[in-house]
Amino acid sequence: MNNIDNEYDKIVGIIKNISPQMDDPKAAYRHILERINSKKESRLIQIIGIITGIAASFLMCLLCWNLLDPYQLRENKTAAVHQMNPENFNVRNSPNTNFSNKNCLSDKNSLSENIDYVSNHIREKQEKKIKRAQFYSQLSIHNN
Amino acid sequence: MEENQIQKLIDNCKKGDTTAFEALFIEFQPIIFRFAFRLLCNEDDAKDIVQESFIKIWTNLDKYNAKYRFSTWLYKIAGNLCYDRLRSVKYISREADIPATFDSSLRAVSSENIETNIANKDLKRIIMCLTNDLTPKQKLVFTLIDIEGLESHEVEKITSLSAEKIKSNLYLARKYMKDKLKIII
Repeated sequence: MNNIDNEYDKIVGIIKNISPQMDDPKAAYRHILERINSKKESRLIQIIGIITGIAASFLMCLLCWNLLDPYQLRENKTAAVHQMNPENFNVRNSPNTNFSNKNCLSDKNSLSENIDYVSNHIREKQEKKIKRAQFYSQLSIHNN
Repeated sequence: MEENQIQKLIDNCKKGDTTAFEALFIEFQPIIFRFAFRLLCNEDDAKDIVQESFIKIWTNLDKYNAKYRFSTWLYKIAGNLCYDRLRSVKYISREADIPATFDSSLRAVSSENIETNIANKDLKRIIMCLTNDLTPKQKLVFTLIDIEGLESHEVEKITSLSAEKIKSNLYLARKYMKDKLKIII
């Protein structure tokens, strides 16, 4: 066993004493610098890409903000809500009314006017409905 | 080079001074190459490890903790890179390609003319013959303690292994190599 230990120590000693060396360390250093610089460049490109992306998305937001002006959207919504009312489905085609989206969109300052216009229109429609109901009830009495 | 000189170079490197980095490279390149060669037994791979280690050093200099020796940090970086390479399937297959002349070279080494000059190739054969079947962990611990002559507390920091695990890995590595020697001699 002692013999084996001695041989082991000898071999380890030999491995320790032999120190392999790099053949061209200067070339290796140059290569390292090149790789570091290329990494820097790629990082720079990455940063530029990120900044461009953020700027592009910001511009898109601005563009959308201008196209879909929230004030204008609110007016559109008012008109849409009005049109969604089943009683007002035929508003556009009604000869008595000249209601259209144009009225809503033409002037931003006319929101209150538009609301008044819409409420008047609803009132008119309701009156018409009552009149129609009365007419039909009279008709049914007459038929009977 | 003294620790305060090294620290100065590191500080300059942090400012982007490449001449300071070159000085660090000249100082520590032989240590990393030797260590990588002893672990991987391949000159090209050892060169790659040197390059990758120094690139990591340059990019992670802010993470260096001056509480520990710079060489310990270097060993940790190079050790991790070597360990990953040893674990890769590709590397194992390359090791298997080495011709089966280990026994004769080991016999030559263990003969009475043991102190004769041995070329790098022979060194490679000896190391491979002895450590061929060791696990990457055993190989790393054996190289750091028995060959590089580092203290076990330093090896703990380099390998992130506990003292017990380092001891057991070293014991198994030595036992395996002595058993191999028993067969040859």
